[in-house]
Amino acid sequence: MPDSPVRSLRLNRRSLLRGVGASLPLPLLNLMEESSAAAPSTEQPLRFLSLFKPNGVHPPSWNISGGQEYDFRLSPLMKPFAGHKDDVLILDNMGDFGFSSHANSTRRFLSGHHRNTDTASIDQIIADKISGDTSHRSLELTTEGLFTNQIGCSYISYDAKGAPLPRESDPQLVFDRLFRNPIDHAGKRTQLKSVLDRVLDDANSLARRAGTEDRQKLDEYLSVLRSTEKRIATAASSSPRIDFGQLERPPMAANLDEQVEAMLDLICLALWTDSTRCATYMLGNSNSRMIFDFLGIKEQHHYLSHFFRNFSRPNLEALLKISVWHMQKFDSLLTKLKNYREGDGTLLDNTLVLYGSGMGHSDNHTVKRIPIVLAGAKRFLKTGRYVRYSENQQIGRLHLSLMNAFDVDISDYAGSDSPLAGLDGSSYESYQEKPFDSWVSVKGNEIVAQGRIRMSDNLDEAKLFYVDVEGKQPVKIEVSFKDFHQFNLAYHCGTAISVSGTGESRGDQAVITKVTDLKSVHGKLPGTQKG
Amino acid sequence: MTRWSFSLVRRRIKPILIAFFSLIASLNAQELQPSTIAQTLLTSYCIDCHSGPDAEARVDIETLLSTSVSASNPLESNYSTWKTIAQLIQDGVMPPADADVPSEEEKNEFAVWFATELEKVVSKPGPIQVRRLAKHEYRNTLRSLFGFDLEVNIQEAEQTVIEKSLVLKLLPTDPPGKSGFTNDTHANGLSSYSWDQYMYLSDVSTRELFEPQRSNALSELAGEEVTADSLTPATAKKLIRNFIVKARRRDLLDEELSTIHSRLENKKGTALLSAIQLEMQAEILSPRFLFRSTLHSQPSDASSGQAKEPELFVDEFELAERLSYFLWADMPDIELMSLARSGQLRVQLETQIARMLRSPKAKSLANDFGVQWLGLDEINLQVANNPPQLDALRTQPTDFLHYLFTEERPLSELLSSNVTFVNPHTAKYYGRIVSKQLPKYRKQKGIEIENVVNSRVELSSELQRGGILTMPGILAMNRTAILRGTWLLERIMGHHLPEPPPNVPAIPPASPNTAELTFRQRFEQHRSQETCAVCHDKIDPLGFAFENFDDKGKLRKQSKTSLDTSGQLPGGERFRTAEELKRILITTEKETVIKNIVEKTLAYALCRELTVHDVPTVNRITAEMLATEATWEDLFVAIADSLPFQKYCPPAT
Repeated sequence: MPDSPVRSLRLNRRSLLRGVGASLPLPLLNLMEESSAAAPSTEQPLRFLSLFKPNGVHPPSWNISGGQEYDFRLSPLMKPFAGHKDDVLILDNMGDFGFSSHANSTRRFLSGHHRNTDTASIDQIIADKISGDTSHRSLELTTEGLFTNQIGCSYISYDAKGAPLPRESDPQLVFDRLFRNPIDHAGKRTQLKSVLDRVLDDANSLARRAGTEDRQKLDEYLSVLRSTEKRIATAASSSPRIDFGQLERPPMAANLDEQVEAMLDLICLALWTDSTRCATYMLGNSNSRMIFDFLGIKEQHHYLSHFFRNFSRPNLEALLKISVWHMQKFDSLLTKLKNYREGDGTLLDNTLVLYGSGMGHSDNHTVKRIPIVLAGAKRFLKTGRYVRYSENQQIGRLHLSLMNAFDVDISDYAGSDSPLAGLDGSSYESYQEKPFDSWVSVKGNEIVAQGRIRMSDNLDEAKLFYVDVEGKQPVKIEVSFKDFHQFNLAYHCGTAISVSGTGESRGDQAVITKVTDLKSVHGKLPGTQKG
Repeated sequence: MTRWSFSLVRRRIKPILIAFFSLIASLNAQELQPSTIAQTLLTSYCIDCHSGPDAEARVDIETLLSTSVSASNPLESNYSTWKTIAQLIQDGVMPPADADVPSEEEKNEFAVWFATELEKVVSKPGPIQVRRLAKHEYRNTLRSLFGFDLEVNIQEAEQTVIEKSLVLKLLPTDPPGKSGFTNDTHANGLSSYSWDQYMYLSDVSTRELFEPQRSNALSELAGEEVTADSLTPATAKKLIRNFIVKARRRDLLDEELSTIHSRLENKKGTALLSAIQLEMQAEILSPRFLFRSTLHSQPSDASSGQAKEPELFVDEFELAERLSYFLWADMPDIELMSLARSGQLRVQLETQIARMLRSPKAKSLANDFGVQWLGLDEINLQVANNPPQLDALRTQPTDFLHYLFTEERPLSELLSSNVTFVNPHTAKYYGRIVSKQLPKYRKQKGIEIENVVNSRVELSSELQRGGILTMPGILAMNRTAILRGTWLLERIMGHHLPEPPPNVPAIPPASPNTAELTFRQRFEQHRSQETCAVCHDKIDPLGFAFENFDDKGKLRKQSKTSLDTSGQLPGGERFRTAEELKRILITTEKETVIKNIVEKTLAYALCRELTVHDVPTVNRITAEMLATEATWEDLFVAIADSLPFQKYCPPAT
């Protein structure tokens, strides 16, 4: 805490309690009382936090259909974090690869390119720049074990030599590492001293009766013990820091949701107490094998994420439930960060959050239109916007911009040599859609419409589609599985189509119940592009 | 005594026996002056390179000779060096070909001297030596002490690998000691890094014991139903007594107990709870728990003036520990402890070993002893990228060893058996006769490949794929003839091979120019250099026996006749196929193999490198094992019953 040594002592009890989700029995009671003089936000260090979502997305429910920078409608999958619409910056057209394996796409998430295997990922480069004298340079966290079939699926953080950094997934162990080192812990220190005194007595009496060779081994033991006592004495005499002794260890998680919530709490607490300034957290390996039994789902996430080749109504519903849960965790993270007051703002103001996945389309592994959402970092990001770039962007350009935001002096990274414009509100070249006419014609039970097709906002109705035409009767497409599949409705989501079919008028809606023909206005055909 | 020493002479120097007798005759009953023989040979041929601070291979002949002269037996103080020297000279590896080389006669003289001195060695146990518990022993011991395993608390996903054991995750890996086994921690003391982990684990475990989900373990330890909230001073006293006895692996003195009890006096509620946790934490951080044998009584500090015995029986608690760490890598259980307490363990050794081998804890013999002896961790390095396949190749030998160790199988079945253990991943190496013995297996939806447990199957031929030598995992980890030959020589036949000289390149891969040469011919080229030949003459012909298996351990498709699998053993015996090689190893070379098994098992059981004083024990047990069709269980009993296991030398005062 070089810039403000007393900052971390200003623990606000009320804000802390708010930081804890109501349903969570988690930690932190009885911290210190609110301090009156709050330092301005800008004096707080800027932190970096990245949350990784496994297995890409189901594009029809993720992509924003149409929409302008300041005037956009959140896609169905974005609804869970709608409460933070003003805190986020949604990027579109990120990623410039047709197709990628899970492992390669995972590497690219924080390393720009999968061939960038001999430099650090950006979180580590940023950590080098900002860690200062924090007790933990960075945290690398995950939820899932190693997928050794393709080890690259399990890592987003890499060290300066490009070697994967070990990840931790047990919130209790992370808590212990951050807040329970007995040596830095006033309460524990006293107990540890009594234990060591007892052990020292034992060892001394054993050493007295031991033979020469054994005495050597016991002397070695005694010297380790004495050096521990010295460390305790040094720690005890150093200036008081926060008394971590009053934080409560998270209880055993009964399911994945509790485990992740506990970890998100720990991340926020670690950032807020300035124990670290950089953390990455994978909600799963990039090809997550998790089974979301607490959501009532029995299939593996990866299997479900191949929603086209393993298509069935229940499979798609299960996949969307999992995706919603991922979005809820992002929402939960932002809420937690916002609940910690810091200076005259919140912890979120001083944290650059990068949320996203390695790939876009989870069935065909396209690495275009990767879900990428930035949040927080008030001094750098201009949030509350939807930015769709004209061209598919290299992820490395985004990485350059982010590193520059942390004053890392770097001008090319992973084959990219210019930072991505527009994050801070600067001008950028935005996507220009080819203009198209839209109209609706209803003649008896014959319905013909041309316009942009989108999926229902309600994810429980993933089989329902709409064609919106301004000033006209909305057209709803509610068809059998055969039509859905044959005309590949989901594929065209977000683009202009012309559709004919039969159906009826219901209230103010024209409802197509049988599709007879569907054409892309701009001639897009499924299977013509890689991915 | 006579029997083993004769067999030793016969085996060690069979090729030169005749020379030996003629030499004896020529000396015309003059007294042999053994140290002079050694001194002459070593000072004339070896000392130029091997002396002083820059001695080659750090073998300093001058020091060796000067320490040996003062010892009652010259081989006593540096047995392993002497053994290596004798072998290198006999094999003609040393002195190198470009130096002055001793004549055959001089070499024979030296060999006779070595064998004669070895014959004079008397069996003697080692001292009681304190040693730190190895990582896996500490994990097992902590689990047995508390009644639960400390585990990482995370949600598991299919097909992913996590280290669930907190101990294995946090503690650094032990390097193997001089014996080649990780339980030989003598040279590997306590680091401050490990100490921090021990402190952490002591804190986590003593806290978890009083958590509601551990109430069964807590009640078990206390000997009555109890929870953290209902803990009374009386129960606490009982609890701490039971805990400490268990942790120390021996009874504690009344005065020690009353001191500990007095510290719990007049405490209740949370004060009592934290007092007892502190006692427990101190106990498992004490050297008494972390180390072995710290509490064995040492007669030197007894006040009695009784005459000093050269060797004594270890007490029964120490014996219980030796036995349980040998067979289980874990602390003694209640039964062993109560036998030790009543002084009945030594007389019931055989029945106890039989009981212990039937416990699931005996899997440690395969997983720790077997894996380290045969270097099975190497499989992990060679079979990347396919964990279920790796798991299948890795568990096949350990399941097989477990079967040999615990189901009274003869020692020689290690190399030849009509039983093996396969799952669908390994069955494909064996063909239909084996795969149709497997239970039906279906993958669950969404799973590409997964670990499957092995089933025991019968093989049609004991020699073809039977036994450990031709298991796919072993052949895949030793992919080439050289690796296969080296592994067989070192791990199975007990030869010690020196490191290859640093300036020799590896076998070149096939190039367009050498394409017409067979694999074997390229080896032959390599072997034509004299420096290589000394070892490779021993290694390569053994490795070629397995040429009909490819580098993944699969039978090659080519017809058998087109592959040359013939070769010969270091003793000169020839074979045409792997089956013939196996047959030789279980008949004419059986003694070599069994002796190696005895040496490896004894070193593991004693947790130390064998010394010259263990040679008589090794030879006696080897002879015993050869005399009958002995089983692995017989071997474990013989070792537990042997002098170095049963006794110790009290320290000099």
